Parts: sequence; structure tokens; C-alpha cells
Amino acid sequence: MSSDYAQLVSDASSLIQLSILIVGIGRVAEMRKGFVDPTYRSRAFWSGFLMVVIAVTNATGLIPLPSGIAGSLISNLPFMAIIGVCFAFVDRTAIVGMKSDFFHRNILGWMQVRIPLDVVMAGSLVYGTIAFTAPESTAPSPPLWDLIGMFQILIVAVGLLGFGAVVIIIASRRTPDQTLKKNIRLLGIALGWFVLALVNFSIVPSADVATVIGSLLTILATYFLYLSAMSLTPLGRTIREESK
Amino acid sequence: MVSTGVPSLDHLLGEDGYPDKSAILVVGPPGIGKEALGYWFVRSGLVQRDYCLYVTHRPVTDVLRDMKGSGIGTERVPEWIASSGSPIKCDLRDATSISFNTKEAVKRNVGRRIRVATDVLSPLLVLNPLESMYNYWSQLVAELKQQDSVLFALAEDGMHPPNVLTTMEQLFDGVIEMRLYEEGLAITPLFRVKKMLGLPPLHGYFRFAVSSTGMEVVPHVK
Repeated sequence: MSSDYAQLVSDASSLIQLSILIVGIGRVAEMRKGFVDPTYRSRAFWSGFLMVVIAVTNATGLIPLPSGIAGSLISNLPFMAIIGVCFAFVDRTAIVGMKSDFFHRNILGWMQVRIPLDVVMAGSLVYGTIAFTAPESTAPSPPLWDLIGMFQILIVAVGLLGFGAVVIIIASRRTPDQTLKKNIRLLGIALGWFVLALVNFSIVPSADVATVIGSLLTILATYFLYLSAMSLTPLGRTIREESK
Repeated sequence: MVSTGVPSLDHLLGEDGYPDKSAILVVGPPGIGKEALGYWFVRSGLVQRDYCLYVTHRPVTDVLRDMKGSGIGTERVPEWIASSGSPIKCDLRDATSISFNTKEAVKRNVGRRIRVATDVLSPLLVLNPLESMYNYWSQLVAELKQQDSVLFALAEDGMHPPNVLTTMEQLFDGVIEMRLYEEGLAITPLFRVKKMLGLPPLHGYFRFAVSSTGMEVVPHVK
């Protein structure tokens, strides 16, 4: 497979994802206006914000970036933002899940640990951003502080997002709200496709084939994220209702 | 007739609001503003010196905070049956006590016009078999309607299988549905009256907007 073909598929994938995300962002903004309860407005906000961050990440892949620290910041910040926004979204979802549980049970002490975890995540993201954008990071043998900075972000992200995932899975089991169950399930599928897309780059030997597979998987991930956002609340169809 | 607390909704329902001695069900997904409709109903009752009872599975402080958020002053409050913060507790695991306490509170106020608002219908439907809940609500609605009272109940859309809400709707004299509707790519919050005692079927949808100054309901034109 030629590199040109792989690049074409990758660019087409970014454009398709951008289209899905732009429609999704607009519709989530409308949904947010329809909610009265601040908790559900917040859920809609975080869904839209996650889509905005992913759209920006896709857009940065389509434009030529400047070299140096500016280019490094533009290419790394969206990735950091995705981790941060994912964690914030998991937090909001866990709180909504506990609120919708009739007995308001605290899941795995989330209400006590969420603030300390926010601090750990924020510190890790700042350290990771400095490590990834430091001029030393591109040296043949980066200093130890830089290596730790780049490595710790993966440990913290996997650890905290994993814990958050367990909490929202329990929340989805405890909530009687079928809509929330569906929303979390679709979000989980979307995250699953994203993870597969990332893993694909480590296991597929050919970079071009990995690019094509990764592009297709990220389209699936984006589409499921869109479906998840649309499932925040049951949507009716006026025409169908009237024709009954 | 009993004012809904929302002038534009009163107008829609024939100037005066909900029918006397009726049971009204408001169905909608979480977060859409069903509670706000309940708060305006209770506030209207408090202004008119009706006896108002709010039966909720939430703490009183939560409901008061929401009321303030909906622009409703809390200088006058209803009598509570709540999960905490009220003299009479609402325990979802004891449906009989909820029904008993509600009926006792109503009996103590015979002679006054009574408004009962509640959000316990959906939780009780989730925690108990449909058949027993049908009998439970059927009996409660019938007993409350023997007094000069209006029952205003909220039900969560998307929380129950469709047949559950359809079954419960049969027990109520009025059913109002609030939800977000898709029209092409646009998403709009709409409201419709599925049925209302004494009124011909109200076809069509109505836009609604809840703000700190009240609630507005206007016909929806496509």
C-alpha cells in the first residue's frame, strides 16, 4: 500500500469525522438549551466540549504546523485536552449516575476522592505538556525528568480513567434510567474504538496499513460518540407522532 | 378549576387550568423541566391559600434549591413528605406509608382546596411490580379525588418500558408530555397535552421555555 493512498484515507477520515463532529456539536448545543436541570445541561456541555476537542485534534492533523515549541504545543495540547475532558466527562457522568440512583449511593467513595483525583490529573497534564513540548524531548537521549514526564501521563490517564470507567459502569447498573444506561454504553463503545485505534498502531507492522485501519476505527469511534451524545435524552419525532 | 401557575398554560387549557378533583400526570425525561411545572403548580396554590403537600423522594433542601433556581420564592412552602428535612419521612421501600401519610395529611385539611404534587411515581414503579403499583395508584387517586383535591404526579420518560407508562396514563385525567423533538437536524423542546378531562383532544405541539421569571408555552409552528 502506498503512503500517498494511506495519507488520502487519513485525510478523508479526518474530514468525515469533522463533519460528524460539527453536526454533533450543533445538535448538542440545541439539546443543552432544552434542559432546565443544571446537571443535564452540564452533561450536554461536556459531550459537546469533548466533541470540540476531538474536532480541533482532527483539524490540527489537516493543517501544516510550525516547527519549534509552537508546533509542538499545537500538536500535543489537543491530546492532553482529550484526556482531561474525558476525565471531567467521566466525573460528570458518575455524579449524574449517583444522583439518578433513588438511594443516592456513593460509588467507591467517588464523592470523596474526585477532588484529589482532579488535582492529580491536572498536575499530570501540566507536567506531561511541559515534558512533551520541551526542546530536550526531541534529543536523542532526553533527560530523566522529561522521560518520566512523558511516561507518567500514560500511567495517570490509564489509572484514573480506568477507575472512572469502573465507577460509571457501577453507576449505569444502579441507575434505573434506561437513557443514562444507553448513553454510557454508547460512550463506552466509542472509547473502545478509540483504544483499538491507538493499539492498532502498536501491533500492525506496516505503518500505512495501520494508518488506514486507524482511520476507519476513529470514524467508528467518532460516530459512536455522536450517537452517545444524541442519546443524552430520548428524542421524539413530531411527524411520526402526528401520523399515529 | 385549579390554576397551573403558568398563565400561558392556563390559557391553553381553557383559561382556568387543571380540572377540579383531577389527577394530572406529567411525563418527560430527566432535566427537561417537569419539576418546574410542579413548583409553579404548588406556588400558585400557596398564593391562593390552598393546602399544598409535596411528596418527594428527594431531601427538602434539594427541592427548595431547585425552586429558587426556577425563580420561585421559598418564603411560603408546602407541607412536606420528603426523604429528609421533613417531619414525615418518605421511604421508597415503604410505599404503604407514603400512601397512608398522604391520605392522612389530606384528611386533616378537608374543607380546603388541596394540591398534592409528587415525584415518587417513577421510583415506586421501578421498585415494585406494575400490577401492584397500578392498584396502589388507582386507590390513591380515587381517594384523593373524593376530596376537593388535584394530584399532580411526575413520571420519568425513558425509565420504564413503554407499556408501564401507557398503563399508568389510564389512571390519570390529564396527561402532559414534555420532551426534546427532532425535526431534521434541529432539536426543539416541545410540550403536548395528550389528554385532559373536559377538553377536546389538543392537537399539535407547543414550545416551552422555563426561566427564572416563569414558564412560557406557545404554539409550535413548523
